[in-house]
Amino acid sequence: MIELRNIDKDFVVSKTETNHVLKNLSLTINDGDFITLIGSNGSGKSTLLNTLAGSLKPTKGEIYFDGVNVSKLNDYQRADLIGRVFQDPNLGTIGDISIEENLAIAFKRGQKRTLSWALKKNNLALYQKYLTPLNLGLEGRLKEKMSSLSGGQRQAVTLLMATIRKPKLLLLDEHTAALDPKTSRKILSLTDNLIKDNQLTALMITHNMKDALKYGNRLLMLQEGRIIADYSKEEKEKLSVDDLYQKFDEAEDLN
Amino acid sequence: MKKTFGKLLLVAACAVPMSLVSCSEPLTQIGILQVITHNALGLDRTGFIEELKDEGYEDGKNIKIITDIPEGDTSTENSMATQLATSCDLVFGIATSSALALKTAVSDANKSIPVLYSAVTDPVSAKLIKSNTDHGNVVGTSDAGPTEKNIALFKKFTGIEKIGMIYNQAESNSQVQKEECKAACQDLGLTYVDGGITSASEIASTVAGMIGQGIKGLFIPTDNTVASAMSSLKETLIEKKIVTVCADKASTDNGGSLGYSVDYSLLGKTTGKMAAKLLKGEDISTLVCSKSDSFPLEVNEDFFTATGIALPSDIEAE
Amino acid sequence: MNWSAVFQFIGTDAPTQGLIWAIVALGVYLSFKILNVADMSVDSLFPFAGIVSLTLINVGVPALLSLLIATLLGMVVGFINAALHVYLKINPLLASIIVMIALYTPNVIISKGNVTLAENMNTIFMTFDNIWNNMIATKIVVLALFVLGTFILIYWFFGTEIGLSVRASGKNETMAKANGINTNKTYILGLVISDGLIALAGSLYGQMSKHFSADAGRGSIVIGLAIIFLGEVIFANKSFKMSLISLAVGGLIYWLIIDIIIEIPSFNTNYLNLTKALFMTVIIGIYELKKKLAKKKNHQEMPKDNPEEVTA
Repeated sequence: MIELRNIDKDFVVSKTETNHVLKNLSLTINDGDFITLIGSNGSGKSTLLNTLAGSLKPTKGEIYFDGVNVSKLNDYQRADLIGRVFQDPNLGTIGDISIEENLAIAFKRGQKRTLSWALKKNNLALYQKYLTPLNLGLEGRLKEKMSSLSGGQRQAVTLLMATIRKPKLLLLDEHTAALDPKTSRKILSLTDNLIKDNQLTALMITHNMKDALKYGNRLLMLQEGRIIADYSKEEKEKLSVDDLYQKFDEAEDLN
Repeated sequence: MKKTFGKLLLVAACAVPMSLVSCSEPLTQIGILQVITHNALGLDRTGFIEELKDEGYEDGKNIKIITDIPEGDTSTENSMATQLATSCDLVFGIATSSALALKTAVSDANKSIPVLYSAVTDPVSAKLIKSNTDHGNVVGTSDAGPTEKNIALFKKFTGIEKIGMIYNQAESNSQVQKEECKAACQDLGLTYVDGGITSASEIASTVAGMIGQGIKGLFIPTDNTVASAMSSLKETLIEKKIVTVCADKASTDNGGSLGYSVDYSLLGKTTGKMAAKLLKGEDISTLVCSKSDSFPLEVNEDFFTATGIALPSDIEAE
Repeated sequence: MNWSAVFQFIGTDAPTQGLIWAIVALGVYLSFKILNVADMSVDSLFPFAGIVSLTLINVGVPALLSLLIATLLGMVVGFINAALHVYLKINPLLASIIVMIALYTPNVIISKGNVTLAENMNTIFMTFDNIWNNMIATKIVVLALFVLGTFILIYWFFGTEIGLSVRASGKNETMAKANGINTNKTYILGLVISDGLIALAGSLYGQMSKHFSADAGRGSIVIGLAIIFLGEVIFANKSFKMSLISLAVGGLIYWLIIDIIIEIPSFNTNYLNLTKALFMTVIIGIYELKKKLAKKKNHQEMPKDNPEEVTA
């Protein structure tokens, strides 16, 4: 179980101006939740994700993973708990090195790195086993440079890398936004299957309201740093995209 | 692979011009390695070449002179030293680093050709020679100057109690002269202000700093870095009326006031005489390393006219 | 033209200079290409190592030990260099410049301007030379051994888990952190190794030329970069192994070219620096052109996302 307790996140813009991005935000993520997160630009979605990941530290409040306070840990210290897929397909992998080397790096996430050889012959078969279900034909291309893959293929591999060591939380930051619609659908489908098959806990930011309704068991709406709605699976199923827009408008009027 | 071969071909093609030079070889090869281009070292070199000519050895007639100037780049200097050591019968290094580079290159090539040097202030502490008479295959002339006499010049002017010295800390010649200057200041009751720099770009600000500390006199040693920047100091020195004693004539002329200077042309000639003797067949062990013994007093009249400082009468007489 | 002398010169100088500067190029490669930082401290660290080594030998320290000490000191300097950035948040380039300036003082104080090997002391080369008394061959053999040793060590290291994490940090810091890599540590490790190599080269250089002056390092990083670019242009590096090989060969070719230029009769050496600058411009120009052409080719061939390819 992952808890965010009373999180404030402020960004100091100038001597007189501070941007309060997250305002007293509390959230409990249960094991096995697949949460879709929507909100307008500036609502704090990415900030929330980065705070969970540890790239940003909260100004106030704490974060707990299974009862352990991780608020003070850096992103690389928290990495064994978290798998991340970024919006930019180039960000989650390294183009200059081979697919095998990329996987080797991901394989060591959360573990102590030693002076043993990084590309172990034994692991090669393992990587092939993981790559095969993706149906991209990559299992035969392990020695090739990552840069020879397309954006969609790179995101698929990033997804694999984020889950190759089961994370406590999978963070997806609009990870299909940079892909064309058909590829985007395939990647989302892949995401859904990976989460189901591995019983992962996941939080996915998306701009696409339809996808937000279609996937996951929980939908969160963020507005100006606050959670304005938290729908369970049953509630989600009854909603339409227009309902969501209406909810946003209501929240705005209240402000 | 094609590309690589193409490039190697290009590189080899540069060797073609060399083949155009005819290859008849009986001329004795003399190699000169001069660390950097500037006045004093240049005078040294031309003095050397002229003296050889006077003694009957002329470039192109019975000797061939190769001159390499690495312009202060150490690795190039070492490569050039190797080149001269392998192809010459006698080598001549002008300034400490060049002389040392030649000495090492010659011994590494397992040769024992004569290594001449000039413009090295302290060849013993630079480990070029053990002593003036115990020197192996190395012989030459030192440009050690009368630092004490030069510092004493400051006393001839009224009101000078603090003097500064500007020099490149990396030049061992200058470090030697620094110690001499400090000692002289102590003997003569002057306060010494240190102006050590690491590159020419620091000269102006260091001098300004020393002037701010109250110096009324400035000593310029035989220093390659400072010598090359003298003209940039000229105006400041005249404006602030800083009496500037220089150990090198070129510096005096270029913005200094006066000084007992080393005659580099004469040094070069003396070294040239040694070379001639060696070419004539004399054994190197008979030669003695020497230094200058005449230091003419140079005066820059313009400085005194511009500043209105009066030349002490005994100097006028000289 | 005395051809035997010419070949003796080039045959001696190009390999020896080429081998030592290959080690410098390796150090610069690590900082410049892997860590993406222009490490200006090289210009002061190179002479610092040589000066320390010669000074130690002059007081009786065995040559090999002085080499080790100089290398270790280089690693300490690398640590300080990295720490300035990691802990004090100073921009990496500025941090290296600060280190470069800071090293001037010990250089000058220890050497008193410059340091020369004392009469009866031995360098690594002289000790080895006792075997067969041919200094030229000795230099080449000893240096070749060092180059082989360091290159193999570096190749092995960067193939380990830790080494791979250092490479990853330099190429994509975000991805590295997301995979649990402490990029501060890897940055420090990278610079420690890089500066250690520079110091090793400096010590070897000092022992080879038996003399080092305090400001003799000026232009060292430029030579290192020239060799890196020359190597890339000639070899179009497809793998880490090829990159390393290109450095060693690049060093040899660079000095071959310089030596040929020196040998050109009546070449006005005043123009040597300008020639070097032109040479570097040509090399880097070709390198950039190649990159551009490769990118264009990539764009045309880059596999577009084929909807049928990406299946669930």
